[in-house]
Amino acid sequence: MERAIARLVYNLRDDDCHIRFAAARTLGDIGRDTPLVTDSLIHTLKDKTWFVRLSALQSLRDLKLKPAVVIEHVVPLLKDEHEDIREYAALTIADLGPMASPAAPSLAEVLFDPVWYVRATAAWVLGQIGPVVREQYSNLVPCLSDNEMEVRISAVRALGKIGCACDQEILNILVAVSRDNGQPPEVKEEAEEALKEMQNSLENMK
Amino acid sequence: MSKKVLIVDDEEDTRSYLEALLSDNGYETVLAEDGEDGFRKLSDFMPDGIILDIIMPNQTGVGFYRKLKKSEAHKNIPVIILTGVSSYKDFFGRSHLTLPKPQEFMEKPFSTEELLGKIKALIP
Repeated sequence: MERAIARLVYNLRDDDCHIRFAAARTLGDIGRDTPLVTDSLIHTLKDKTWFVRLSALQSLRDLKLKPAVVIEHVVPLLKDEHEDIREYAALTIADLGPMASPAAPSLAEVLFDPVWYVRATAAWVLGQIGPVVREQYSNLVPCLSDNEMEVRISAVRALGKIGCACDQEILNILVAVSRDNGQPPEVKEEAEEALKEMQNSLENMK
Repeated sequence: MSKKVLIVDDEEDTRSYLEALLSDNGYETVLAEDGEDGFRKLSDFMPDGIILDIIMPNQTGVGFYRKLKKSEAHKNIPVIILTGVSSYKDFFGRSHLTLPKPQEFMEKPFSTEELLGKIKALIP
């Protein structure tokens, strides 16, 4: 197996992008997180071909990187030229939960991404990180009037997760959304749901 | 009248193979080589089902699928995702987007019998 892994690592530098893509994917499938494999895949995150970079990122995610490695090497991919990589980088960051808090400022920038589903995912990821990124709530507010409903829904959900139950500023925002007749019913319902969850968490604390 | 299937895949070999497979089984097909091309052909062709690759130049299958599901005219067309990268399921399996998941998700290399069975079930 070691020889096969070494061959795959070697193939990450092949001239043919499809060979590099397959090598990166297979290394993830094998699942050995040796320094050679991890370092080579991290190097492949800078490959010139987008789907090779994505394949390396997917494999690194499968190998469950340490938080510091994700922050150092995955956060920069939030600015990748390809939208699927920006979104997948955000999903990878979400896996860290509260330990992803150093990535919050970069995620906040992605809330203004030109592609709606990247914006929606960035908002959702902030919610997954939780109350430690509470200070990002003001960056989520513009998302509540995004042209795409999915982005608004993700922002509402995120606000509900980053605010603690006695957070009056976030409560006021969610109440306003739930009563705003300019919002689609789906967004208003999400705001009501977020408020209920915040209320439940307050009762659980008592 | 035969049912219509839009095949969106950047690999010419795969497109031709699927075209032959579907034609032999009584389906009418239109071929598109990426998501942008697929969306251009969608309105003219109005397919009964779509077979969609993911990793393609220009607009990928992810972008195509999400645009499709937000289109009132096309959102109910059943979709079979066909991809060589299993972890692409993450783009569709997450609950943070309210869009419905694809009807079927198959990995390449695929079994012809299995794919045909799924096509016949979704587009009878």
